[in-house]
Amino acid sequence: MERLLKLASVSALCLVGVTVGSERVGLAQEQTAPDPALQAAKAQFEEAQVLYIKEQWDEAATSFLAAYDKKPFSSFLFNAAVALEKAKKLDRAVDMFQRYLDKDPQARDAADVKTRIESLKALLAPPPTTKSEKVSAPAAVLPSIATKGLVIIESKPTGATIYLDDKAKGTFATTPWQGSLEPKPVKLIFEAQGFKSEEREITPRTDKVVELYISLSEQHFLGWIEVIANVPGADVFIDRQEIGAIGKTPYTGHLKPGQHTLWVSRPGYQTAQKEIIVEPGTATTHTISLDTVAYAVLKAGGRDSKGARLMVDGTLACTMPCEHRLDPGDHQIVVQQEDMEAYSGKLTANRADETSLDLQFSPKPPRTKAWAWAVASAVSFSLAIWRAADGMSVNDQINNDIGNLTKFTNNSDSRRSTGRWDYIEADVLFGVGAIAGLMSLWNFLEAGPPSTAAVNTVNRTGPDPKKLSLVPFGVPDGAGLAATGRF
Amino acid sequence: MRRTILALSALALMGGCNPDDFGSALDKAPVQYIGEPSGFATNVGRTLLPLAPPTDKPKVAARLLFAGTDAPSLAVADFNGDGNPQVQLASSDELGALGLSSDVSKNGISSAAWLSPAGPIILGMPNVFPDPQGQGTPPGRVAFLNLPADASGKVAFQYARIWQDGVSTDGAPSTQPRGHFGLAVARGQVTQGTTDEAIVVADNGVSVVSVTSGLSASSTCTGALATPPDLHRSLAVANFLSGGNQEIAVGLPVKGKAGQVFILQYGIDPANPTLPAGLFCARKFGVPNSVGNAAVGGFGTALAAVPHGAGLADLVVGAPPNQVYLVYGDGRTPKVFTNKAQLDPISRKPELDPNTGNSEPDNNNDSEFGQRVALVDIDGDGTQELAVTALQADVGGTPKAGKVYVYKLDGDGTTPIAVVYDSNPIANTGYFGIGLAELEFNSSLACAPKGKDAHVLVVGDDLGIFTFFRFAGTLDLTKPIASDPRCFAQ
Repeated sequence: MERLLKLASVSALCLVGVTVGSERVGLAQEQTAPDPALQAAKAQFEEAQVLYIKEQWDEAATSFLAAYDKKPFSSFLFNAAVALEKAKKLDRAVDMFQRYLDKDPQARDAADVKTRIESLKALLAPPPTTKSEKVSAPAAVLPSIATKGLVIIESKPTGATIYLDDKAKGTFATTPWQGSLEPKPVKLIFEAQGFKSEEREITPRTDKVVELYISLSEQHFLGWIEVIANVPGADVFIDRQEIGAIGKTPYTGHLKPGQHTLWVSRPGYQTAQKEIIVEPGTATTHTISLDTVAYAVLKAGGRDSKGARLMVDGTLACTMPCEHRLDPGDHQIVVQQEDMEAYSGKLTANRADETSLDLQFSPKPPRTKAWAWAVASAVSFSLAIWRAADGMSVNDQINNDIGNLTKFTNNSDSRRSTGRWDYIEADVLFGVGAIAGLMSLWNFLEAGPPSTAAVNTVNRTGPDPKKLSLVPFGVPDGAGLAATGRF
Repeated sequence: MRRTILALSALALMGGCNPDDFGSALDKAPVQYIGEPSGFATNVGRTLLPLAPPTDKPKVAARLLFAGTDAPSLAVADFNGDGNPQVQLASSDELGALGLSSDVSKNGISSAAWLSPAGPIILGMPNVFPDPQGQGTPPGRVAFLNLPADASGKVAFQYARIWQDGVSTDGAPSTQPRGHFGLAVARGQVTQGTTDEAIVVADNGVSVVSVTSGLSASSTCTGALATPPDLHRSLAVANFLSGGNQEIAVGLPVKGKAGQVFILQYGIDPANPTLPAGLFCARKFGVPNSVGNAAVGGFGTALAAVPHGAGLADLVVGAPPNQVYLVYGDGRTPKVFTNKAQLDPISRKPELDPNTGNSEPDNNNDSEFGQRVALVDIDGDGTQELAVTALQADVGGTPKAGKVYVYKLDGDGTTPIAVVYDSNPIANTGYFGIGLAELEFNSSLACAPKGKDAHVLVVGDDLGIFTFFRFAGTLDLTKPIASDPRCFAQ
């Protein structure tokens, strides 16, 4: 309850400023700097009003138009039209009323102004030429008319809905708004979503510019929640998981009123999600039950492991560093890294186990020697074929000569030695080629020391293995702290 | 290309290339060569002695004994199986038993003949001893050798008897003549009529030697025969003259003078009837007048007898540098073979080897045509052909490598039917043809009509021995050259 009271005490401050005439009425939390043009228009307006009261109609109309030039409020045009009408300059008055309508077609008194324009135009019409017309066209009688004051309403935030006197009458306007109101007390009601409603009473005057600025305060009553889980220390997330946990269970804290999404998670358990509604000024306890996950997690990493392929039971699981879920049971783990000896091992996974696999790769032996042997083998075989071909050619020559009755080929023909050496060289080279080939194959197949991995398995359903508990204890000669922990 | 790839693949699968393929191929070469046997120096193919073909072999078989003239060495080439020669060398102990130990002499055996096909063998060793009496001439030896063969065909060089300078090394009485005893040896029936005797030539005469009793007769015309010849003596034994026994023909070429051939006959010299019976000079002749009386220094360098059954034998006389004479026993005009201008008309020239250009014999006068002569029945027609060595003939572009020309004696007599040479000729020092022999194969057992053995030409050179199983050349012959006696060529 104290937290609730504290929350209430820090509710946002609402500052409202109302300026009447040339002065601001009230205070504004964030007021903008005075508008010089507005200030000049206001001064010019007040000067025009003085002239109007003095019935100096022409000067008053001129002054209203000068105010309009400084700040083009339509009310200035209306007042100038009234002053011109007073000055019996009806045609200019008609024009000025028309400019008023053009400037503000949605003016609340637009219909009246149109009627007045028609009336003024009737007065300006030429007199009837026949008796019947004279009888049938009575002289127009204009209702009295007076100048308007100017009310300027702004708010923070902008777009606030303005009601007059009673919300049941419906929306009057939205901020910002400027216009004329009847010179009588009126209650202005401001509403904006997410903000506290505000009401102000003003009394507009026909000879003054009323400037009203209102800053609406946000709704300022928070709710208080308490999150309790069957697993202490679980992470608590509100609305956005990506920004991180806001605390751990058991958790207490304030929340803005409204609907929120609550997540509670902890490794080894299935994440719980709950939609909650926070009422301002209330305290709510949410009890979450976390279930143990039905899988184990394998975290694979280690030096030089980036890009390594983690194979689980012969299937590519992920590219390291990575995590992979394992079904409970025995698994064959193989890690393959380019230019490194593969790691192979067995892993028994239990529910909620978290196993870290820290790979220490052993590089494969360089294949330089293998390639060198392969080249030597190829060269040897090529030379062997060359020598064998020579020997076969010699053999063919000998056989041809033996069959040739025109030649005395004898058994000690020097080609016997030549051919023998060709074949011996070919045999030796074939042998060397074969040996080199075997050496090449052997070097290609040669494996370095096997890659190893440090495997550490923790079951997340148990106590935090790294949590250290310090327990005070007493002995006859003093006291101390006993450290207990599970590693 | 495909064949090569397949062959190489097969080779690779079978374990590579077999170097023995070349040996297998060359085992079927038309010419089998025995080259540079261990212990031999130069003149490897000079002393050739064909032995009787072994009858215990199922296939082509022959045996050839050959000896090193310039080094104590002796070997038998055993042709068996497919006719490839397997050389068996006499061991140092066996050579020592023959007096050919290397510490006694670096010379070897210059001549060989057999007394009977089964032995013993007569080996002439004219240079084996240093001069023991200070005469400047080695006395020489003649050894008798048996060649028993075991069941596997391996022969043993078995000492039988040695006669030195006419004196048995085991105490037999000394006889004449002296010096280079064993220059030439031959078998003949000279004194006893039907008994084989060893005929031995020395520097100053010719002797008849018995294996058991030593010298039985010596030449009596010592003065004529004592003239030192410039070339090695040649020897032929046959029935050249009328009479019951055979006569000895011995050649005495004299460089720069008139070479001669002496016919020695055993008995009482009609010119000296008081002397005891001996080998008197029954006849001597140089270049027959009927074919020209020009003196030929090389006349008599080589001799070969051409027996004619009951008739008198003809005699082939080599007269290098460019002639060979066939002297008929019946008195016909001798036939003269030359290596010059005897190949016309051109259409009958042998087309031998288009690669070497050996399309005709050498025409030069210094080809030493006639240095060796031999009779070989190379076409198997039962009549021997004449083989003549031109020891310094050019072979293609190889100068003085040596060639052997073969003539049919029953043809026109002067046109060679074949020319053989070393396919890898050696210039100047090849001495192809320094030894000639006819080797008899018992190929009849497997490859030829039963009862008919094959004869092939064997040619020695300075470094080895060639056995010509087939003759090259597309020859215009009335009879074909004998086919290769080896089975694979049938």
